[in-house]
Amino acid sequence: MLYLSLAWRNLWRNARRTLITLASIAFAVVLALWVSSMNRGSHQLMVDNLSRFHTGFIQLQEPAWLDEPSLDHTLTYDPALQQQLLADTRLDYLVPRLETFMLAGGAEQVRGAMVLGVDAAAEQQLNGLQERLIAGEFFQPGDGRAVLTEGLARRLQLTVGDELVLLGQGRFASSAAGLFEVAGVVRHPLRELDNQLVYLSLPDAQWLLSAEQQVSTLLLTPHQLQQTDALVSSLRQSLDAQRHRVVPWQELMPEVLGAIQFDLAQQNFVLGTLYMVIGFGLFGTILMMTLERTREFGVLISLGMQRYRLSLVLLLETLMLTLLGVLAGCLPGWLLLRHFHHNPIQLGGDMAQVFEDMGMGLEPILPFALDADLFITQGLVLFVLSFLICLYPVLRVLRLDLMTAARS
Amino acid sequence: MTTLMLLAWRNVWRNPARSAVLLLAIALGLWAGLLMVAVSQGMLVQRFERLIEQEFSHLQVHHPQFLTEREVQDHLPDVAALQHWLQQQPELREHTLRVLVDGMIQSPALTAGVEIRGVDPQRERRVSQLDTTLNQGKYLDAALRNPILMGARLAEKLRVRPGQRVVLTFQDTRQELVSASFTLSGTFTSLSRAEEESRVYVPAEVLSAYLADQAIWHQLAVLLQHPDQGSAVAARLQQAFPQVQALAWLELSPELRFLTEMGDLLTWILIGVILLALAFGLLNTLLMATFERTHELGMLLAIGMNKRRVFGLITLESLLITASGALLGVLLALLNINWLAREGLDLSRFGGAALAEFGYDTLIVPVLGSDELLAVALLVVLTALLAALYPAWKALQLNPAQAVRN
Repeated sequence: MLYLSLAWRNLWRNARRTLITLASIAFAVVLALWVSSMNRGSHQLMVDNLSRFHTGFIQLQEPAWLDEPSLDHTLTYDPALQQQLLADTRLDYLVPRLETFMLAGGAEQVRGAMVLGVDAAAEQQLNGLQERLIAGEFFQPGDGRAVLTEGLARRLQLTVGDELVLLGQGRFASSAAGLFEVAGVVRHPLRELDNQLVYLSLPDAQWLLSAEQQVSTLLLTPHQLQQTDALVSSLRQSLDAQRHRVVPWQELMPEVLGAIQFDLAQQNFVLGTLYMVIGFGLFGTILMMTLERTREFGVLISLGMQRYRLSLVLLLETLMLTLLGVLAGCLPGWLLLRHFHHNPIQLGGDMAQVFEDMGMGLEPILPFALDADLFITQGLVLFVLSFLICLYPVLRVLRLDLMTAARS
Repeated sequence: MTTLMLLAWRNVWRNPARSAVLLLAIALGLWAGLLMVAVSQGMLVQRFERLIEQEFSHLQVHHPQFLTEREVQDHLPDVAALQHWLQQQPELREHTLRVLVDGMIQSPALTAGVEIRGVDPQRERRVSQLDTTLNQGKYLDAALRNPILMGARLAEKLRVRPGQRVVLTFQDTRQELVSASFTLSGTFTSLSRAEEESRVYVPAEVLSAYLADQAIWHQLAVLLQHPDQGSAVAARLQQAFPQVQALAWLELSPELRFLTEMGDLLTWILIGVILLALAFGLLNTLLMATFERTHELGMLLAIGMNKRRVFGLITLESLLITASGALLGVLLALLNINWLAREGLDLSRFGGAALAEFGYDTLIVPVLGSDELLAVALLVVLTALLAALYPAWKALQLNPAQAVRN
């Protein structure tokens, strides 16, 4: 207890010195937090954006669909399944899709097109599809009308009110042909899809392809992205694996996961470099502090204080200092991250154009994540790092030459 | 001034430990910044050079409407003149012509949309090294009637193996639907999943014969001696042939441009963060040093050295240390980068062990340009000097009488 109060008093005997060291540590925490939060944020945004426009967060499929995505391997989507799934409170809503590839024709032109039977309201909830209408309107379920993507509409030379012919194969090799009125044209943010999508209402598509009550994939949207993994494992337990396959975005878009992993490895390298620079700055501060206090240490030892006791006091000082520093860094760090989390960095001008040109539907912002584990990881790493550096005076005292110390 | 210089020099050496820490901090900051730039540049070169060569070439020429409309009838005019012009360019390495059409592929198992590429098998392998990506069967086998090459994933989905048949359906130049049967010659793998799922290659003369009465081409892909020459050659070609559209890889691939620019932006943001960390470390160390030297500085003030000179003295000391630190840092970085350029930086050591599964090459060879070197070095020196200003100003606030008694 005596040591504790000695150490505490030592810290505040020269408050200016202590505050400078504290600031060094706190600043390091803030910087490390900022960098890792930016990284995490951009990954989350990428996954969110791509999932919404591409594959969804979690898909429910018929097990054979993976190997052979044909209409023969569809999923029966009935109220019973719907009820069973939505019983899980982590699940927000379901987006059913029935997809196949058909020939789409206008008056003159014919193109291969991806035909997507959708629930327009659910799609709207997932990715705001209806706001991307550039002409006309969306169909009502079963009204026999279609919505085209802009690129396809241009190639087929079709506009709102024209007739669209769809020709292809339905379920179990039945032939499928239908005539649809073009209700609207949307601009899809993914360029490769913008050139080839036809949206039908789900009942229309099911009728056209002789696939009543069938869907190709059922997209499940959790309330929060972070819940995806937990939701997937509990779904895998509760659903019959013979009939339903649960696939998370990581498996649906392995290349995105790969890009993220690559980014993380790079981030760790950057953080390592940052820790090194931070550590050296801190070491400089501690070294100056030790130099300044050398005389004090010399006097104490001369007066008969045992070296190990002095070291112990210094060790306690170090512990308090680093702990305080890390905690002091977390608060401004949290405020900073919260600010950037709610006001992400907007990329303007050229960069915004580059995002737009890429046609992947990514927003031109640098977002920041506000996750508790960031604070824990960075706080812990910097605590250990600062603690090791602050051990310097402790070691110094053990090997201090009394005469030179007293004379300095 | 000389006296001040001498004094500063001696002060630097009077406390070697302190000077060494400052010097090393600056050297380390510079080393870190340079290494980061070099690694991110190296990554760019490495990840994309292969992609650029295989996918986009350095330069592509199309009918002006082809890229947006992708209509079969938008084929290249004056192909012979274009080829003749290209042969005369000193930068030319290889070139090839392609026929491109979108269509449908059918097997007993599945119908899917595909991008059909008609290629000259010999020239194609020299430009995109298509033959090196095969994992099954043979490269467009001349012994087969209507051979076809497709992505491994597509073959899996269609459930076809080499020797089996698929049917391609597409629109010809008269806008009639054509169906033709092709025999699978081999399958290729690709880093891009989309490509592996939706691209097929057939001999150009076969495809061309189905499309039109005479040979037509949609794309001229050109490899140059160096990727950077793309824009210049594209501009020259555009001038000579205003009736076509010539684009360098940077304009052809918004994705690559995105990754390049985003990578650049992030690198500079991170360098900013490192500079900030460096500045704060230096500021604190110098501040501590000033406090430790209170007595000494107070003495100088007391015996009549004016404040301007004390300020000059401290700034000069910082300048000396910064300059030597910067020199050491550049040296350190160059040595390190040189070494890494030989050995490669293995990113898998930083927690990227699973990367190989995704087809990433985790061994990175850093590249450092002289422009970047100069920019980072200047930034570090500027940061260090700025960080020295506050402690120097703080020293001016000393009251000589009190400082001496300290």
